Formats: sequence, C-alpha cells, structure tokens
Amino acid sequence: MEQFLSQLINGLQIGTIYALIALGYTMVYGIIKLINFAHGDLIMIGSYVAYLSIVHFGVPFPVAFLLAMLFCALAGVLMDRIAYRPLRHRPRLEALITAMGVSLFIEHGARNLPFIGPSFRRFPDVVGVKSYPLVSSVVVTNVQILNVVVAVVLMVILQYIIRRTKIGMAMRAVSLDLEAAKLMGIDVDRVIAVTFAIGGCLAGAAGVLMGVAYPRLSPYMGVMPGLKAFVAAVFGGIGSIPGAVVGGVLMGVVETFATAAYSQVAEGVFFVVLVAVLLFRPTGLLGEPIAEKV
Amino acid sequence: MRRKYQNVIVPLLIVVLASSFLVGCGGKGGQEVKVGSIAPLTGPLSTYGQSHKDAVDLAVEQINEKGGLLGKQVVIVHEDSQGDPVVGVNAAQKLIEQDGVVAVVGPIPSKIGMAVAPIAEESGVPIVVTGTSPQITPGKDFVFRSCWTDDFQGVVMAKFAYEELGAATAAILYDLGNDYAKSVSEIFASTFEELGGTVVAMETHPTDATDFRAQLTNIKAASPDVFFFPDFYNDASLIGRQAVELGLEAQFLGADGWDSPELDLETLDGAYYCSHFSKEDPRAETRAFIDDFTAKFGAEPDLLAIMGYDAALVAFDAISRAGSVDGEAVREAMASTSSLPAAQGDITFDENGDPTTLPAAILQIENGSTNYVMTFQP
Repeated sequence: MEQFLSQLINGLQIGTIYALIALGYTMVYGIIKLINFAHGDLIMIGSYVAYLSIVHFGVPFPVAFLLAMLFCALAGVLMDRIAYRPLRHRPRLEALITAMGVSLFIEHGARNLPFIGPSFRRFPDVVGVKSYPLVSSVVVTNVQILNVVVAVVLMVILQYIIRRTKIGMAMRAVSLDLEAAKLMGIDVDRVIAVTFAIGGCLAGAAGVLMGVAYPRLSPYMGVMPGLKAFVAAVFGGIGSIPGAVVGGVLMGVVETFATAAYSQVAEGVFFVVLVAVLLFRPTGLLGEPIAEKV
Repeated sequence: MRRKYQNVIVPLLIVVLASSFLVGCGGKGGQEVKVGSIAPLTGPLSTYGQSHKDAVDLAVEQINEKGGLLGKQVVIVHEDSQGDPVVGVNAAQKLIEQDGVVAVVGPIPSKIGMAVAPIAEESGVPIVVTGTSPQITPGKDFVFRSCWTDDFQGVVMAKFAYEELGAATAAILYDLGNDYAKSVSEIFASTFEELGGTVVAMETHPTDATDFRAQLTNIKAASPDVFFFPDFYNDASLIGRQAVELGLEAQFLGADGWDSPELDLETLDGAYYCSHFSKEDPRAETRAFIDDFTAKFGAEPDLLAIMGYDAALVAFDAISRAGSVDGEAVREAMASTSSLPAAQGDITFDENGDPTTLPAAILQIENGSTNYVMTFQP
C-alpha cells in the first residue's frame, strides 16, 4: 500500500509536468491544427534561462521562474512569427516539417552557444530539498509539493484566461472556426500569437520545474519530455484543454507504475498507448468525436 | 526556384560536395608517426574526454622529448566522439582513412569501444581501448585494452560488499543502454549470489532518464544492505540525490564510471567505488605519472587519465618494438606486450588483449574527497 502511494506521488510529480507541456501542444493544435514539434525545446530554453539568471546574475528563484516564462513566451511568439505565420495558408505538411526544422535548429543552436554548450549543466540547488514523512515510510519532498502546486496554479490561471477573458473567448472562437472568427472581426494573427505566448509560458514553467526536480540540463533535454507530452496530449484528446491535463497526469502515473512493474520496457509503454489510442479512439479520451460530413 | 538561380546554385553545390572528397588526402609515412585518439571531449561524458586527452598529450610530450618513435616525432590526432557511438565510428573512420594513423588510443566508454572495435579489426589498425566491458576484445586480433575488465571489477565490488562490508542483500540499478554498466551489474549480481548473498532488486532505466523514483521506490521497499548503481558519474549523481530524497537507506556502491571531478560528492558521501589506481600508491611509475600530470595540468589525474596514459604507452611500446608502422607488425608487437611498466601497474596481455595483472583500488567518498580503502589483486 505504501509503495502504491509512493509511486502515485512520483507519478503525479512527473505527470503535472507533462500536463503543463501538453497544454502548450494542445492549445496550438486547437488553434491552427499544427503539432509544434519545437514545443519541447521551449522547455530547454526555460531551464537554461532560469539556470543562467540564477548562476550568472544572482537572481532570486521566483524572479528567475518568471523570467523563464517570459523568455519562453517570447520564443513561442517568435517561432510563430518567423516560421509558421508565412506558411499559414499553405498545406499543413509544410508547417509540420518546418516545426521539425525549428526544433533541430534550437537544439543544435543551443548546443553550440558557449554559455550553454554540449555538456550537461547542473541546476543550482535553490530549493533546499526537504523530505516530509507522509504515511509510515512514504515521503514527499518539498520539491514535489512545489511542482504540483505550481502546475495546478498555472492551470487554474489558464482556465480563467480561457473562460473569463475576452482574449480567451477569441481563442476559443478561432479554434472553432478560423475563417468565421476572421469574418467576425477578430485579429486572428494576434490571437494565434497570444496562444503561442501562453503555450511558451507553460513550457518555460515546466522547464524550470524540471530543472529543480531533475537538475541536469542539456540542449536535448526537451526532446523526450516533449515527445511524451505530445503523446499525453493525443491520449487526452488533442485540441482539448482538460484533455491535456488529464492526459498528462494519467500518462505520468501510468509511466511510473509501468517502470515500477517492469523497468526494462517501461519507456515503450508510452508508444504502446499512443498506438492503442490511435487505433481505438483517435480523438483521445476527452476529444470530440469528429463527425464526418457525408 | 527562380530559373536564373538554378544555373548557379546547382553547379555550386556540386563543386562544394565534390571538393569535400579531396579533404585530407593523407597517408602513412612522412616525417612523423601519427597516432589517433578518440574520446568524448564534449557531451555528457566530457570530463572523461578531457582527462583522456590531457593524459595522452602528456604521454606524447614525454615520448617526443626522448626522441619520438622510430626516429620520428609522434603526432597525436584527437577526435571527439561526443559520447555517441555513431560519431565515434565516424571519428574512427576519419582517423584511419584520412589521417592514416598507426594506432588508435581509446575510445571510452565501452559502448563506443564496441562500435569502433570492428572497424579497427577490418582496417588492420591496432586500437587500445580504455573501456571495461569484457565483450570488446575477445575474438579480435587488433583490439587491445589498457585496463582491467568488468569481469574483474564486478567480482571486486561483490567481494567487497559481501566480505568486507558484510552485506547479505543487494539492490542494483543500471542504465539499459550502457554496455559498461550492464556488464558490471550482471557480473556483480552473479558473483554476489555465488558468495552467498541475495540480490533483492535489479532495476534498469533508459538512457538519459532523469526520473528514477519509480525504480528507487521499488528498491527502497526491498530494504537492501547495499545499493549498487554503477552508471556514469552524471547519472550516478542524479540517482544518488533522488535516493537520498526518497529516504533510501543502504550503503551506496559504485564502480569506476563514478570517477570524475563532477561527481556529486556531497550527496554520495560515505559511498564506496572502484578505481584503477590510488593516489597514495607508492609504486614508482604510478607516482611519476601522478607527479608529472599534476605538474603539467595543475590538477591530479583521475582514472580516465591513467587509462589513457597507459593506452598511449602500450601503443608507443608496440610501435617501437615492431620497428615499423605496418599494422600487422605493430599488432604482433602489441600482442606480445609483457610486463610493460605502465602507470596503473605492469601490463601483460592475455590472448584476448586484456591486461592480466592490474590491481583495483577501493575508494570511499568522505567529506568532499575520495580516500583510499584497500586494494584487490587479480
């Protein structure tokens, strides 16, 4: 029983990180039907921005956190402006290939920057790790609590933005029907830019949380989590925001339990789930079944 | 593409591509003896690469001061494997085909050694690896090694755990994609059980994983006396940290992959690991190497340095005894290396090309430094 609880806590920690990343994927997909493969690399940018600001500029941790989110929001908007906007009216395949190109560019570019470099960096220990005993031998660390709390707070803020603000309404409108929204006078380019910015913010936050929880930074650190979060977003229903959250947390928990059960093949479980979802319920858990016009 | 640019760009591309074939049309012979070196100078194992490079440079400097080899100066060509077998293979091919090296020193770690060994074998260029996985050398005539293998190391750690520490139960965690960690772990497990202990948990993780909590929770539930995680220093540091966070109480044990200035000594305080030499060893050649290295680089050598240095010594000794740069002659000389006074110990090769007489030292991490505990002889 205690092991179950321990593993559940582990799963929630990584699951909330996946959820934050998956939200970015799902929002961008919902709005322009593009799977932004470069989204995972925003995680890496966020981590490094926080790392550099703490280590080189002595910035306190909360400020570094906000800086990372800001920087990634900017990076997201730039990505859209430079790489995806010119291809807005072209076939989706072109944007997809461009997304892969952007991803490779960011990864290899970062690798060659002298202050990032190809070798691993260790994220500084800004949150002194303390373990709190929960139930008998089950422990939860303050980092895990921070992780889950921050992720939940961000998701609540996101929900507020989407449901209660005008820009949120515009985002929902554009994701329903881009052309109709344009006809209604919505500045679609601006809405898309905001979506990328928010997605970038969340990815940056995820990056900092990852840096704190798993303090090893490398230029390719965003690849695997990005890929897994993408699977989680598809699992939860791509284009659906609650789907991304549910997908992310569920996949994190599933991955943890699979690793605990049989660590040798646990990583494959993600991709088995992806295949299963695509076979049996392609729109994901909470996605809307697409009615085909006959 | 605009019509008028097509006529310029395409021919330009052809010229650029064609010229890349002309790069480095070198060959053997000439005024120098070229030796190649492959190491992870950048990437996740960069401290290994730096140590290796520095030590090899020291060896080259020393041999050139004595007049070089075969009357010519020795020139070392360093290649970066980036810790990636694909890049390592490319590096090996470049060294052999373009630079025309007489011998290759390295690579490390074992999975790159495994990838590069067949190339050395096919091209007839002797290679002295510094990885410890036992599968690299057998059956290959041109592949040698300047250190002991995991067959020995796994046994050493298991014996240390069972006999010296009195452990009855052990748990193991290793990187699935790391040939070295896998072989040490398997040998440790089988030896520990043969001695009478029980391996209560044998967990793995994928390469580049950053979250080990699931596996560590399993291990914690099994309450082992010792926890053996022989991954490289960067993974080991992460694992140690998460284990401590989870409250895993067991004696931490590692292997030679831990040796690096970037190892997290604070988290791993109290752990033991295995090394190829001890800095307090009174043996003359070992002391000479430590002193020379410290004098030249201002820092003490780690085990990557000593293995690289010895690999270079083996190569130089073989070339000078062969009296030529012919691959087969050098190979034959290398295979008959006997009691070569290297920095780790005297090197004599067995039929696989592995040294038979090198000892292992157990080190303990205490208060931010590593202290010598004891030596195991083969």
